Amino acid sequence: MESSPPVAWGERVRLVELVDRVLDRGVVLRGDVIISVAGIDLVYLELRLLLSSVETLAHPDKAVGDPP
Amino acid sequence: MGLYLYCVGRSDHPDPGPQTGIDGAAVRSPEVAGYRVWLSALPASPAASLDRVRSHHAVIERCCAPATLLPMRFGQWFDTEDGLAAALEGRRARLDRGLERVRDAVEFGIRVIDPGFPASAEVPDRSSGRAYLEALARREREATARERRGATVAVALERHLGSCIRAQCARFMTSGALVAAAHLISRHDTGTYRERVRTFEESRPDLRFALSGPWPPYGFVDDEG
Repeated sequence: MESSPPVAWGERVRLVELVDRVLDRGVVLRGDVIISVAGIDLVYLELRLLLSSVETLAHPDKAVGDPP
Repeated sequence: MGLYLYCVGRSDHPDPGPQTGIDGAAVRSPEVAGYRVWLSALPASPAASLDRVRSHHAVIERCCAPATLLPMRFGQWFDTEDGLAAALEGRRARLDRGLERVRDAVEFGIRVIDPGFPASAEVPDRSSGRAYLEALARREREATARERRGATVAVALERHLGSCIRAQCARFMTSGALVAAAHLISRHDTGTYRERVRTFEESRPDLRFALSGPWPPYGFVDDEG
C-alpha cells in the first residue's frame, strides 16, 4: 500500500484548522444549502488519511515530520 | 450555469486580479446589490472535498490580502445572479455589521492540548446493560470536567492576551485538544499577539499549544450565530 509523504506538524495544524473553518464557519447566505453529512465526513476521512490521524494533534511531540 | 460565492466585500474592495477557484473555474468579481463579490460559474452546488475546500479558501485568502472581507462558508451556490442579489439584500444589515466588525482584522486559531487530561472514555459495547450505563455516566462526568478545565484555560488565555484581541471565540472539545480558540486581531496587533501567546505558553508548561494564522475572519462574520 502506498503511503503518503509525512506532513509536518505545522501543516497538520493548518489543515485541520482550514477544514474546520471552511466547512463550519463563514457567512451562510443560503440556509437551505446544507452540505451533506456524508460529504463532510468524506472530507474528514481524506484529511485523516493524509495526516495518518487527526488525533495526533493531541500528541504534537509524536507527530511525523516535526522540525528538530 | 449557477454561481458559487466565495466572499463579499465593500464595493470599493481592491480586486487582487485574475485567479481560478473550485475545479479550476475562473473567479470574477462583479458588484452585486452594492457589494463586491467573488464568484465562479459552476453548474451545480459542488460536493465537499479536500481539494475544493483548499480552492475555496485560496480565493478568499488572496482577496483578503489587501483588506478584510467576509468569507463565505463552503457550499453557497445560487441559480442566478438575481437570486444572489436577493440573498445579499435580505441580509444587508448583518453583512454590514460583519464588515465593520472584521475591518482591518485577521483571525488566529489556538488549540490548547492538556496531556494530563485525557479524552473522554469510549463507551463500551452493550453486552452488559449495567456496564454500559456506568460507562455512559463516567463519560458524561469526564466530558463535564474537560469542559470546565477548557473554560478555565480559555478565560486565563483571554485575560493574558488582554487588549491585543478584539474578540475571542472558544469551543470545548471532547477529544483531542481541550479547547479550540479563535481570536480576532487588528492587523497592526499581530506582532503583540504572537508575543503574548508565546509568554502565555511559557507560563503554562502543563499545556501544549498549536497556533495557526493569520486566517480570514471565518469565525467572526456573524453576531447572530
